[in-house]
Amino acid sequence: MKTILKFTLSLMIIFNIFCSKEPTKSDEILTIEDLLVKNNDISGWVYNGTGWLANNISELTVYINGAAEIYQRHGFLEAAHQSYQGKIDNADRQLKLTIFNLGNENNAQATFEDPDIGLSGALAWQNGAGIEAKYIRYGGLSQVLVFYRAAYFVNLDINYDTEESLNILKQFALNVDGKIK
Amino acid sequence: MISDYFLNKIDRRTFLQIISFTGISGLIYPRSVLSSLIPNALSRVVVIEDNMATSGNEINSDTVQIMMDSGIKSMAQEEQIGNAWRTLLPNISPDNTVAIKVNCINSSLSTHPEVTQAVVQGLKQMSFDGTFFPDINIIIYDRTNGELTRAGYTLNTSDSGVRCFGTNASGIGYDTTTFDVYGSSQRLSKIISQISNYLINISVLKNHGTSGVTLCLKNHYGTCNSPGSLHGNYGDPYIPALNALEPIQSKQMVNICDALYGIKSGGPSGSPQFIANKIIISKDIVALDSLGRQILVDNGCTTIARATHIDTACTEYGLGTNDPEQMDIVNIINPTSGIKPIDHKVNNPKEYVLRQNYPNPFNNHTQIRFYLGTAGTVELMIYSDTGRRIRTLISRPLNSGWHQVTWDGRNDWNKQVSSGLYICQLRTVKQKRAIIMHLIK
Repeated sequence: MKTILKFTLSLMIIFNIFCSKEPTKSDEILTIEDLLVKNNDISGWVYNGTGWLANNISELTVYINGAAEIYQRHGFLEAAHQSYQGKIDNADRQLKLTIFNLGNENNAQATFEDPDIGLSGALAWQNGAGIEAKYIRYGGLSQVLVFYRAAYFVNLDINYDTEESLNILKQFALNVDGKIK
Repeated sequence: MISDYFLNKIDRRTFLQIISFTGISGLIYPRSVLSSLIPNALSRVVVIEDNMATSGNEINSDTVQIMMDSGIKSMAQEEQIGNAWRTLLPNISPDNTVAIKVNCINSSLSTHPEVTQAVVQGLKQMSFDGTFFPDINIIIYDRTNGELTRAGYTLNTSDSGVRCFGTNASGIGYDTTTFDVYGSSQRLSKIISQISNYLINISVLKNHGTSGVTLCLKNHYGTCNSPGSLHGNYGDPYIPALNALEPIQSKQMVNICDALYGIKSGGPSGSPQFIANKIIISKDIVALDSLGRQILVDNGCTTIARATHIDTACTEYGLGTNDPEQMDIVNIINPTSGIKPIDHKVNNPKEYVLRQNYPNPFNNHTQIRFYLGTAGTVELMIYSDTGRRIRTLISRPLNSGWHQVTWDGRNDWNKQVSSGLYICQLRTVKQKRAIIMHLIK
C-alpha cells in the first residue's frame, strides 16, 4: 500500500511537472526590440547593419538629431530602430523601421497627428495596421507609412516607390502591429 | 575675419577708407555691414542644375563631376579647375590639410559620395610647380565612422589615399578647448581645431522639424561634441553662434549644398522626397542657406518659418547676407549639354539682349551670349544668308539671366557649313533679336 501511495505520488509530481502550463509567447512581456521585424520574417528582407535602441531623449537625439523633439513633446519613453535590405525590381532597396513608445495611446495618437511628422497629404490606409494608419508616396523616390496602436507610434520608410514597395511596407506594418496586439 | 571674397571685391584704398570711416577694425567688422557700404560687394552664389545628374534613385557621377567643376570655376572665375580651387583656398600649399565636412546623420539622404568625390577630384588638380596636391592631405569627416560607412563612404586612416574617418575614430576625438556657444559649452572636433588648415562644408538639402531647414550652417552640429544641447528655440542663435567660432569661420572657405535630392517634410530623417538636380556653391554660408531655404519653399516645404537662424546669422553675427539683392546669383543649367548660362546681377539688362558673338569672324567655334529678362521658352536659331534655317541651338524653357552657348559651325545634321555670313536669331514669346556672324574657313 505504501509503495502504491509512493508510486501514485510520484506520478502526480511527474504529471504536474510535465503538464504545468509553459509560458507561451503571448504571455511573455515583449520589449520594444521584440516588436521589430525579425531577420527574413518578411521573405527576402534581411537586416542591414545593426539597429539601435534609445532609452531616453538624449540617446534618441544622438540617433535622429533634432527630429527627436517631436517625440519629446509627446511623452517619449524609448525607441527601437532597424534597417532592412531587400530586392525590388532587381535592385537593392533599403527599408527603415522605427518604433516609438510614447507611454500611452493618447500620446501615440498625438504623434500620429502632429504636422511636424511631415505627412500632410498622406493617404489613409483603411483597415490596415494599428488604430489608424496612413502613407505617402514621393514620386518614384520613396514612401513613408506610419501607424499607431496602444502606446506605440511606428514609422516605416523605404527608398523606392512602386506598388510592390508599398506592399512590402504594409507587410512590415502588419507584422509589427500583430505583436503589439 | 573679413573673407578674401571682400578683399578681392574692393581695392586697398576703398578698404582703408571704410576702416577709417568706421573707426573700427575691419577684422571684426560684420560682412553684412560692409555689404551695405560697398554696393558692389555682392556674395556670389553659383547654382548648377543638370537634368542628367540623376535618374530615379541613381546618380550620374560623370555629370556630377562636370557640374561641380563648372560651378567651382564659375565661383572662382578661373578657367582651369585646379587654379579655381587654389583661388578659393587662398595661400594653400601642398603641406596644408583640407577637411571636407559631409552630412551623414541620415543614411537615406547623406552628402552623396559622388558629390564629395567631385570635390576631391578637383582638389587633386591643384598644381604647385608641377606637383599636384597630395590626396593624403584631404580628409572627409563627420561625427562617427558608423555614419560615414552607412552613407556609403569607405573609411581610410592609412598613410595613402584620401583619408576618411569620423571624429570618434581612434586617436581623434574632440579638442579639450571649450567654447561658449550662446551659453552652451562645446568642444570642436580635432579635425577642425588641430588637423586641418582649410574647411569645405558640404551639406544636404533637407527640412528640419526643429530648425526649419538643415543646410550648411547647421551641418556643423556634426563638428561639435554636444549638439543635443543646441536645439532650443529652433536652434537660434545656437547655429550661427557655433558657426561664428574662430576655428570654423577662419578655415571654412567653400560651402556646397548637395541638392541633387531633397527632403521637404518630416526631415531631417527619411528618404529623398523630390529631385532638384542641383548643386549650390558659395563662399557666403548665409547666402547659400538662404537660397537653399528658397528651393525648399519652392518644393512645398512648410517648416521654413522656423529657420530664423539663417537671418540671425546675417543680422546678429555678420556671417553673410540673406538679402537676394546682395547676392550675385549665377545659374548654370545643364553644363553637360554645353549650354552655360551666366547670370551676373551687376548691370543686368531689363529685358532681352543678344550680344554679338565672340570671336567674330570665327573659324571653328564661336560663343553666343544672351540675356532673358524673364524665364520662358526660348529658340536660338542659326540661319543662312538666304534665310534657310540650318541649326537649332536651343528650343526649350530657360531661366532668366545670362546664358551662353557655343556654335561649332555645324548644321542640324552635324555637317560643317561653308564660309559665309550667318544670322543668329533669339526668339521668345515677346521679342526677337538677331545678330550677323561671319564664318571663315
